[in-house]
Amino acid sequence: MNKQEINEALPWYANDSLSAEERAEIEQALENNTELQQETEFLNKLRNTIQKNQIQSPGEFGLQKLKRSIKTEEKPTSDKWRVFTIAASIMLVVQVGIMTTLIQQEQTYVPLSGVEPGKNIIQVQFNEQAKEIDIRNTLLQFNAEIIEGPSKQGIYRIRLDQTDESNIDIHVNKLNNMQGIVDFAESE
Amino acid sequence: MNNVDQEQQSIELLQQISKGHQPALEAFYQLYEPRVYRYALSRLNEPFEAADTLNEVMMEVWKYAERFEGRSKVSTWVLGITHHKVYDRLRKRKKAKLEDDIDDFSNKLADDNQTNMEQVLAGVDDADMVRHCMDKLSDSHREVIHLAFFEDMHYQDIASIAKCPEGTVKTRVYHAKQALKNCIAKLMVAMEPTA
Repeated sequence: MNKQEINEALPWYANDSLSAEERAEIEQALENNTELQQETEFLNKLRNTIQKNQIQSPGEFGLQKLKRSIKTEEKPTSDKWRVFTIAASIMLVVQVGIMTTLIQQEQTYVPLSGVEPGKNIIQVQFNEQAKEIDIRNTLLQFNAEIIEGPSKQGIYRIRLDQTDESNIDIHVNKLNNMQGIVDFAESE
Repeated sequence: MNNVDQEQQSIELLQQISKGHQPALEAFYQLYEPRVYRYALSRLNEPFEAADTLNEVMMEVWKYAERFEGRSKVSTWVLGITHHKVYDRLRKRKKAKLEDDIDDFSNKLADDNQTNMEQVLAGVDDADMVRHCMDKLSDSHREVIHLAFFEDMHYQDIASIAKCPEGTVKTRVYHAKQALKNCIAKLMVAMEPTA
């Protein structure tokens, strides 16, 4: 190595990423060369200072954020789910058509649930490890019933009875906080 | 755990992640989170943006772990992803013009050869001073200094991450260290008590 090559190689000598052969060559060049010795001392000190610099990284907070991002990614936005949604919409249109015909035929018809389609309905994905009793207790606690599901993605549609629609988000939050039982919940 | 064990563990984790095993991603996160974050922070200089970048990088690992082909070390691969994410953010900031200005300033600082090595050696131990001078560097200079002296990477790995020739890495490190020396020397002079 010539003088310029030695100078260029000093940072890699300081961070110990050179081969044994290259190191030996540098060490030979360092002998009796005050300028190169000072440069090496500067690089070693610079490396020490940079490595000692304490920086607080996001840690556990960042991991929780990552988990939330994964959960959001896995929400039913895949093509399969869109196909399912379209099919469900077509079914709904057909059902509405039949019901309209029935209502026209029989003026006294009233929906049994008294709840319009989509209202008070939450999509829920239960945790894989959740026990049946946990799911049952959750449904009872929220006075809810499963009206559809599971989909291929393991998503259920549940309807909350006698719930003021403005409170639906509170129930969704409660469900989302049931770690180990509910993976995610979202109102329709 | 030595470097060989960690590399092997990282490869195994990536294989599990590619099969959708979320606990493997969490273990991978624990291994690489500080390094990815620090690298992003060293270039973006903004903790929230660096944290967002960390999240984006780990999501990329989650979705595309199977793209790791073993042609580089796992750390080189993951920091390469970080490099791209940071670059996208810098571009979005529309700081291209500003970066040119900083590049000019960084190079001007490097060109100034009036350094007193004794002052430089006294000042380089001061973490605040070094941090201040690092902030004065251009992004490309800060990047190589971080990868060389925090990550202890060989110039070949740095070239692979920064997607530039090895010679460019060496030139950037040379100019960056000159700029740091000049900046430290100037600060030391400024701190000297006036007679």
